[in-house]
Amino acid sequence: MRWILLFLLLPLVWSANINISNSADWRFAYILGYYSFVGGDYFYGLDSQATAREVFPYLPSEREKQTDTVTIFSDRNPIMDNYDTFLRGMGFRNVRTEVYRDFDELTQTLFQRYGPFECYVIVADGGGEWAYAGSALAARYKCALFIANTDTIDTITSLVPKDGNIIIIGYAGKRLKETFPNAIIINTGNRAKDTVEVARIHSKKPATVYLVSGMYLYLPGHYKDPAVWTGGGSIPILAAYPDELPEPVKDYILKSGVKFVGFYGAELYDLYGREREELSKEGVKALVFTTLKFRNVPTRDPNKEYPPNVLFMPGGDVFVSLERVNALAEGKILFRFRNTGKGIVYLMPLIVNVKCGGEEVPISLPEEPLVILPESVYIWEVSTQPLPSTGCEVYFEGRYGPDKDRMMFDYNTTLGFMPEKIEDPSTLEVKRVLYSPRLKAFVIYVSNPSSVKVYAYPSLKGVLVDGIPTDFSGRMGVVPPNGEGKLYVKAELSDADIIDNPTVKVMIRYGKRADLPIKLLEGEFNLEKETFTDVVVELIQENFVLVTAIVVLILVILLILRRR
Amino acid sequence: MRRILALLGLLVVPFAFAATPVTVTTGAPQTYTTTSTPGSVDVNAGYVIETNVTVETVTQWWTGTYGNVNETVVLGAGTSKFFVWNLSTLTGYVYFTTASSVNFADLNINVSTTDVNAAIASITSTSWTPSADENFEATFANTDTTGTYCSIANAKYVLTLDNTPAAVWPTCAYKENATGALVFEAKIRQDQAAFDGSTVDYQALLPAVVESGAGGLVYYVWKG
Repeated sequence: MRWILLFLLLPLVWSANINISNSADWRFAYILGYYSFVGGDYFYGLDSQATAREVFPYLPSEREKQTDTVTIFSDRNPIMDNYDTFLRGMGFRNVRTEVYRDFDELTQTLFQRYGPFECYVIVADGGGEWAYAGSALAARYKCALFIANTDTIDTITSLVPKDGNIIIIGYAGKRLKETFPNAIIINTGNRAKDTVEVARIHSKKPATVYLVSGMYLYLPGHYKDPAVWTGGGSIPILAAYPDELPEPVKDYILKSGVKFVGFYGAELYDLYGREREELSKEGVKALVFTTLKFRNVPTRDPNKEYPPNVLFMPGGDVFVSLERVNALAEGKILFRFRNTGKGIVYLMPLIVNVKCGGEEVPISLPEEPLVILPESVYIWEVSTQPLPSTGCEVYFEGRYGPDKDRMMFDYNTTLGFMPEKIEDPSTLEVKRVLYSPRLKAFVIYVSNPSSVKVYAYPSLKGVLVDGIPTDFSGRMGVVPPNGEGKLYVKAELSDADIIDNPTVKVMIRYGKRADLPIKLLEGEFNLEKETFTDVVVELIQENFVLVTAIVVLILVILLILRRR
Repeated sequence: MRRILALLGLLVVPFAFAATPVTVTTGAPQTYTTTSTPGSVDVNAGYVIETNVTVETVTQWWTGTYGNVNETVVLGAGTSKFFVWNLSTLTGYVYFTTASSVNFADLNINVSTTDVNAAIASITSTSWTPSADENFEATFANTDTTGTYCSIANAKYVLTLDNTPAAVWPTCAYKENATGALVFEAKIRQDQAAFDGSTVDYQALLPAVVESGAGGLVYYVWKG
């Protein structure tokens, strides 16, 4: 009987939990991978349906498929729908799915599930370098880990004790600083230097350090390997860029007794090749992680090398293109750039050769990079000599990246265009600017005194959000002739932010043609907070017929009652 | 001076436009085909006959890997290449690790069959139990006392064969002290004949499990 009982219990003893991230959001996988590590569970991150179908199902043994519990953590935009059904079809016995709104809700759950914690590491959203360095530090001391942005700050302030051992890495924001006055804040203004400061807290004399670009979240090749961003609980992680080993990082490596440097990821190949000799002379051995080899995975050729699974981090999710060039014959060229990525793009034009009818048109290049907000359009306007009404061509070459100091990508293209003579009588005036907490947007009240319809592209420059100057841009709005309208610019501001911005700089590019907004309105305007009256007025304006009908109905009822 | 290493034909370009950051070119998988053929012996009463039997079976516990390492010197700005020179002399090692995060400063040369079994079994959930003739000690039977083949003195190593066949391709074995993760180190020998006569830069022998029902095994490939 005892043996039978033991036999029945063995699978339970041997069973393990495998947590699978089924989300394209790196933050979701990052948080799950981290808490799985500190909680002693396995973690696997999906980056594509190919990985989901062709790799993961073959990693556990047949016995583990029967005994282990697979939990699929999905957000509302999973990489693979119905993955639990698929895995059951592949022979997995214990599969379940947990769906979360986003990584913030996931963090709350995992914090409770794997806690309690005695220390807390908060990394600012938007910096892959901060994320890697912060999670490696958190894993070293088994701290709770959070990603801070305006959406998650309520979670953090509710879960983290005010007098706890707290380290905030990267841009902290006013509210976090005020809530946790005793927190250690690492934010030197240089992300690479921040990672060095984190490494100093991590270990006094680390023998091995890893370098990452922060462009990609490298997911484990096997679910039994801890996620690399944990550093296995022992390895500090520092920042390096494809074209540069930052000076503070190099200095730290050479002066801290480091013996081995692991350049993690193929985007650091160039850098590894350049730096390894010099590091070697100083007694530091450099290695670069490249690819994966699989065995016993029937869908993976055992003789092939495979790239590791990755998810884009903010620094890697930058894509820019010059989608159109328009020009006015009187001497104005508008370059329309589009950023299709989810990260901000800094673009520095380096060569802009314009030729019209074989004649070169001199172009003045900007001194500062152009800033193109995520998933939006930016129009760079250049004044030139009068242009002939013949076919023109522009060769554009520039460098871009996620930061002013990290414009490591090259971009070039050639486009043709035809200068046009346009009479544009459109005009636009700003009447009022307010922030609506209800809509989470700036509302710019404008009037159009001209006789033509106006197409307007609004933006705000240098708005202080938690004390940091931030740019916002909105979608195109249309203002009727001799009429008024409202332009909306999405942004999340706290009451403190509204107080910090008594005035805002508004820039509206507009014109009578949607594809050629040749006019520019710039100015600084007082910022108001939306009041109840504003809400009522807006409701009335937007539902005029309905409101009128209700008022008439009430009046009629009152009249009838009075007559009785 | 700028250098780029492109390992195993990888295109080493920052991957602003790629969902995955590496492009790979490799050869087709191969396995050994035994040369044994069924034979027969004529046995006549009243005679004594000598019969020698040769049997070849394919290993179930080891896997081989080999390939090229391309190293170049690059002139360029940022990630744009202005000119590329191919390096005439390749040096260093190719590493295969069983874990993604390895503390290379914490490697131990005292590897045994027990260690390999522990590491491989923990990943594949299947015991790594070759016979005494084929186990780790029998395979990595040499000790590099002179530092000829391995980056750490006195490491255990094996020399795999070229096509003559001569034992010339070193693979050295280590384990990470803290985790027991395995690290195999293949020394680069530029443009030398591999087991099949092709010209390659490294050839390595790694433990694996072929048994049905075993879990998948992943090696992380490093250049150092």
